[in-house]
Amino acid sequence: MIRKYFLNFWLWWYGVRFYRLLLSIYSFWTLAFANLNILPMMANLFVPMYQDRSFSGRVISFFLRFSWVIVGLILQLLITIPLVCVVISWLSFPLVCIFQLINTLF
Amino acid sequence: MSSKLERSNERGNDVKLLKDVKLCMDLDYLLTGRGFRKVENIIQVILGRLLFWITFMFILGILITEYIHGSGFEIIFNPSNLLGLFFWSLAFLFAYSLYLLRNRIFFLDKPRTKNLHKLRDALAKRVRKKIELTNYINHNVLWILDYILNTESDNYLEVFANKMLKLSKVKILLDRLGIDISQLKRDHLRAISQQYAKTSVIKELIDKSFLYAFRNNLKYVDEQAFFLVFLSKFFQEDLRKNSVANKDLGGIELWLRNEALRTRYIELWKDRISIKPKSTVNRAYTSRYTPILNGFSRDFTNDVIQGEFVVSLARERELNHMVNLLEKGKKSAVLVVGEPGVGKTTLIKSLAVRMVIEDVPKKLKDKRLVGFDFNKAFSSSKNIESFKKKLRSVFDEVAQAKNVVLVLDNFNQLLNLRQELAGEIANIIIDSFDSNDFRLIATTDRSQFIRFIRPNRALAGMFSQVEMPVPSDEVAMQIVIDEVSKIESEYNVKISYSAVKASIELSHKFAYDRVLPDKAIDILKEAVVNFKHLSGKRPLEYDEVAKVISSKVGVKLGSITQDESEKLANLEQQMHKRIIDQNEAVQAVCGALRRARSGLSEAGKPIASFLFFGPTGVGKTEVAKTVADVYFGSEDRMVRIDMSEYQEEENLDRLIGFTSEKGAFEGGFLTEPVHKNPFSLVLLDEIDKANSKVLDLFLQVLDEGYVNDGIGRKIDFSNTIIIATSNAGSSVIADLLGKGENYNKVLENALKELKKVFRIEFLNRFDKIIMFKPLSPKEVKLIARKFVEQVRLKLLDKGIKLIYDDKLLARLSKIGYNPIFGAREMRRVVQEEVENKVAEMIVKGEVKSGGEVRL
Repeated sequence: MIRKYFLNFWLWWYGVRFYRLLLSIYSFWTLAFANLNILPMMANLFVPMYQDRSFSGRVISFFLRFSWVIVGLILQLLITIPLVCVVISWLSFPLVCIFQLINTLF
Repeated sequence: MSSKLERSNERGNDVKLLKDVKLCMDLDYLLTGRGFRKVENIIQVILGRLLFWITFMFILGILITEYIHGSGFEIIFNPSNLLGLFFWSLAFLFAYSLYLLRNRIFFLDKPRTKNLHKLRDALAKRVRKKIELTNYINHNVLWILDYILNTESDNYLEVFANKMLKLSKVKILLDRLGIDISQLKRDHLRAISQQYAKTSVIKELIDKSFLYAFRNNLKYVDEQAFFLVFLSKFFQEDLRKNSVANKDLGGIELWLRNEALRTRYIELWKDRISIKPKSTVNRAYTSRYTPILNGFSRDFTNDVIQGEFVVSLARERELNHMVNLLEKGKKSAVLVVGEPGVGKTTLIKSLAVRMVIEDVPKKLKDKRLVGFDFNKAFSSSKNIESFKKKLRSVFDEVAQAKNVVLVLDNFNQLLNLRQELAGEIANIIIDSFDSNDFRLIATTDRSQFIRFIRPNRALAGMFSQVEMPVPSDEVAMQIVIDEVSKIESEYNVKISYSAVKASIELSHKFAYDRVLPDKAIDILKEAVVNFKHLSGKRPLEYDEVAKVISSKVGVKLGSITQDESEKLANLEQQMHKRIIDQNEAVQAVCGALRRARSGLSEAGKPIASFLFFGPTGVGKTEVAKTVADVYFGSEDRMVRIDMSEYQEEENLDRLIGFTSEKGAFEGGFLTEPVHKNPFSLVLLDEIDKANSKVLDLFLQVLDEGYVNDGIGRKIDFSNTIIIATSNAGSSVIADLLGKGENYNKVLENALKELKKVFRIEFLNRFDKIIMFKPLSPKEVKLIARKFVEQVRLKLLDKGIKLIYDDKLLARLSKIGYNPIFGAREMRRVVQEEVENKVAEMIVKGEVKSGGEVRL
């Protein structure tokens, strides 16, 4: 009973569920990355957009793609920060609870 | 290149992957639940929910109170009093409530992170040497196994069956199979339970279910897989009673496999749609917009993104072939050739699904599959020049866009918009393809390909062909199963497996101009519409589909009803109402009809074929007419061919049809009526007079059940009854019977005569050769009575009573019967001797309504 109702909680929180959480966060992160379309833009940095192969078309395309990548990476970073916070919160939450309880009691 | 999913399916189907792997089964693990796994799980969820909401509300309350009092969150970060202690206790309990709630899958069981999809991948990479089977069982089954293993019962199999039958997925499965749960007998399970040890039975079930789930690409060993194994092992008798053959269980397996694939496709589709471009340019913005094409197009990939997609295992081979051809080089043109209704457009749609879920080679990823509606473009063009300009523009756009795979569905129509335009349009296509790089898919049917495309060698040479043959029944079954879920949701009705089976099996009985799977799907839809009043009440079964087809062909199909059963049992009596004596012929015919109706007649051959021979006027044709009436419902269903008109070899064309000098096809006297109405009786009168080359045609008809007509159409005779008549051997029959020889002796000698007229191989093709005897005086009298009775009944309608005696019958028999012409003259004699006399009396006013006539 102790194992099932108490020890397993810790195993679940830091084991199975944490692994699941990481998977969900990773999938959300990759989905966001794919939605921001950064990789196709990086891969085609020097390829003109809309098949416009004129000199001006190429230059404009390069700058557009470049700025797209920079903005995209910034946005991706902005998305990453709260996700990291979620992970840290998850890891620390039960420990903080216990710590605060001990702190209050003693 | 075969697709990822297909490779995965191959792996799923290939149980050989498990060859070098050790399969283990930890029953101790199942025993640890002590039979309360499910109960504990339910209690745990209830507790978890209570705890979650209580803690959540309290925490929220404390936070709000603290905020209102303006003391900040001091109590949270620096707890020093009882409230702080309370808050952090609640916070911990909140975390614990998540454990109770969210881990309900993992609470008592080992983590269910494993599934069969992952296992297949691992096995393909050969990184797995040992498999614990219990890890792949889903929770519904696990709970039941836990209960069974931990509970003492002398009838554990019945307990298992009862628990299984409560599960919704199992109920759906039985509905599909057309088995009523209440009729599933479970009495025999007690004896089996007592005979075999519980653990050994459970182990065997787990083992077989695992293999079942593995080869059918399921994600887990679920209740459906488990129950099907259980059913086929312990309910053979019930399955037999419900007409569920092993083949049908195979069909259900196929159904499950399709559903598993559909689930996977949906998962992949959900993953992909959010990253798909919202406009018509690709994700890298390297492509161009296609405004002209967009005005006359159907975007198949966009349809899939919107959720309209088909999943099919059936045409994987053709689809892979097409993908391989499209992948080649910088440009490619594929021509899909197949009969109308064979599924060419569905193949295109399947490709669109693959493209959206990105299960295609790199060259086809992030591309649009766009169908060009040239008919719309043509009708919206002011003139021919405008259309040609539009056509060129579309090809230029596609070439420049770089992200479009163009589809020209029914490509032959584009060449046939106007006869004089065909060459020019073909040239535009060839020129565009030669000078640009793009990928093109066109579809057409075989006859149109021969007529419009093949003659233009440059055009035909541009394409690589993908042949789409008419699918076999098994493949058609898969395609129809793919459609079932769509039909079910559209019409709010459940379709059983037997209904699908009926739509395939019975579709062969009509619509010879159409092919599978199209006509089977149409039958199913028609049956659903006809029986819509049953929606939601019970699944659509075999007989409902059979009724729809019966109404089309005019012959009863499906299971035999009580009325029909009685009618079939008394067939001889019914026939004897019209036929005097000739018992051997009547019995043979009735036997054949019963065999045909009960489904025992040989497939691919006519229902029955007889050669009637004997003297003229003894009832050969009458038997044929009676059969047409009794079996096909009307004498009009008889195709009568006077074979004496086919004494020359050249006459063969008239039987199978020919193309006239003007180019029009003249249907054959034999093939055309049978093509229009395959459920017919074919009477070949006086067959001995036909040319031997003409008779050769019937060798194939009798043996194979079909013949090709003058334009190469396959005319099916498998639903016909063929009766040939001949007068050959009449004199021998009359002589020997006159000498008092018995029937068999006469038959023996008569057959010798017959063999002089017909070749042995021709005679052997008939199911039965039946000798008709000359009529005895007694039988002639009975025939006379039959005709006089017909007159009597006719007069009775007019209120006139006809009274006749035996003397009249004797006189009629004497005049109406001739040893050479039989009773053929009887009808005429009765007309002269009875009808004419009565008519005269009526005209003269000697007899009026209410009066009587004595003859």
